[in-house]
Amino acid sequence: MNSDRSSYGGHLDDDAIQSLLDAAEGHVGAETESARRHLADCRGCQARVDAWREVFGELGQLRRFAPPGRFAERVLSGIERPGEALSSARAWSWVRLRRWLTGRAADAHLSGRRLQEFADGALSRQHATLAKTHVAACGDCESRLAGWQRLIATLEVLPSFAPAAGFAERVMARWREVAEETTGRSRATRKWLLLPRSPRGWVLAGTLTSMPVAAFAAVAAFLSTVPQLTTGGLATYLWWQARDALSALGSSVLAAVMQSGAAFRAYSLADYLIASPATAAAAAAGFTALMFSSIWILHRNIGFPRLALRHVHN
Amino acid sequence: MSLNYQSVEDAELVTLAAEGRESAYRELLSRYERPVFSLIYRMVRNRTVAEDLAQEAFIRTFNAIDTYNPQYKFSSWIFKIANNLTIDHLRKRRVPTVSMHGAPDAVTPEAQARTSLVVQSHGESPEEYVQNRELAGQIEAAIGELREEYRVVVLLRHIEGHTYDEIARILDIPLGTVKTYLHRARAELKLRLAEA
Ligand SMILES: [Zn+2]
Ligand SMILES: [Zn+2]
Repeated sequence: MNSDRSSYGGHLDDDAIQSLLDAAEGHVGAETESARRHLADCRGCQARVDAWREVFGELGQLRRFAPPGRFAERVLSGIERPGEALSSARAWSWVRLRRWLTGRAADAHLSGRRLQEFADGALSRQHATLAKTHVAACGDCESRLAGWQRLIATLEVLPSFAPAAGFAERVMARWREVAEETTGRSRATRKWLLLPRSPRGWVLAGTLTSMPVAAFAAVAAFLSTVPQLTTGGLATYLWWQARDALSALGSSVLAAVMQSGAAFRAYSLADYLIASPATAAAAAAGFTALMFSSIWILHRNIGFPRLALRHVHN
Repeated sequence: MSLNYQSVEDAELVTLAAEGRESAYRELLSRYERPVFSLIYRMVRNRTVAEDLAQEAFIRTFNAIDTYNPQYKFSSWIFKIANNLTIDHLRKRRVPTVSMHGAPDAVTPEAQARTSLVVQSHGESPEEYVQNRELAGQIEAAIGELREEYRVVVLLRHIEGHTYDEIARILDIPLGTVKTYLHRARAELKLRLAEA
């Protein structure tokens, strides 16, 4: 492809320059990048780009208004400024421009790529105008264009193929299977997580959870205001109460075990553990966690009203 | 609730489908089953494989329907999914004989030998019979001999009628590459048809 793009030693040919100007209008192609890099260092090509830019400017006018009589001459006189010395590249471009505008475009044949894109309706308006004008004047390019047009027409009438009968039904059936597998999986996941399923559910769960936590905090605060009631003392009291209750139940075996030395050592250890602040904190955390889970189970089972985010219906 | 789905635009159908309306899915299927199947079939050149891939393309599209970006055409999206599946399939199945891609000129005699082998192969199934006739035409054979990158751009452009920009998006390649592929693909087709 590069062979018909930069035909003389890296310099930009007319196609490349026109692509570049198209790119300025937003039709950016990958090949314009290398053209841009070349252009940055090459004064000759810069001059030719300027010349083409002027042609494009005039062609813009041509599209919008019917060209007035002697249009070509006016364009040419507008570009040719008396006394201005033309650089060689610019002079060369000038010859091309004059030939094109005056309809003598014998040496400006269209490249295969350009003809293809013209046949495919893929040229920008400027390029299409240039191509149309050339083809109208050049039998050679006209017949090459006709070849591309025939090829495209042949392709465009090719039939589309239908899949075997019942394809749509098979797709719908398979899709339903896939969907069921997927929702089955997500339902199972949700059962394990026991998470609220709507914003309102989250608010309810939060409120209910914070209530027992607040109650627990209040009790703890109250206990801390009573100096006689230390954590250890409270635990001892609870322990005695439990032992009395067990004795009252007539469980002599249990009572015997409790009154033995082993029971006393276990009690001492428990008393020590209970008295440490870390244990108190861990107990509080465990209590809170228990509260959370019980509230969530409650929430799941009582089934508080859920705010459905998206209701799927068939 | 009784909507005439046939008059609904693609983007609107997608919205209805995302809401869970089965008729919207059915309408999308009836619109795209032929184009999607045809594209894949001309790429893999086997009806059974093409149907499996087309089915998978629809299921993937439907499953992802609520991720559809309405900024792009639905057709571009589904063709992108279909093309990715097809390319994956072709890559997995690729055999050494297909690596003649680098030298387009060497393709014709070998490919002809391959084609004649298929045609003469022991007892065609009815399906094979149909498909050998379907894709046996001169132009279809020429398309089949294009390398995959060229073939898909020709199909998307000249059979499905996508714009160059849409093709660039479907294939995830730059616009300049689309133009180059199309240019080379058409040049090869022209050459093959002139030889035939
Ligand atoms: Zn240069
Ligand atoms: Zn010509």
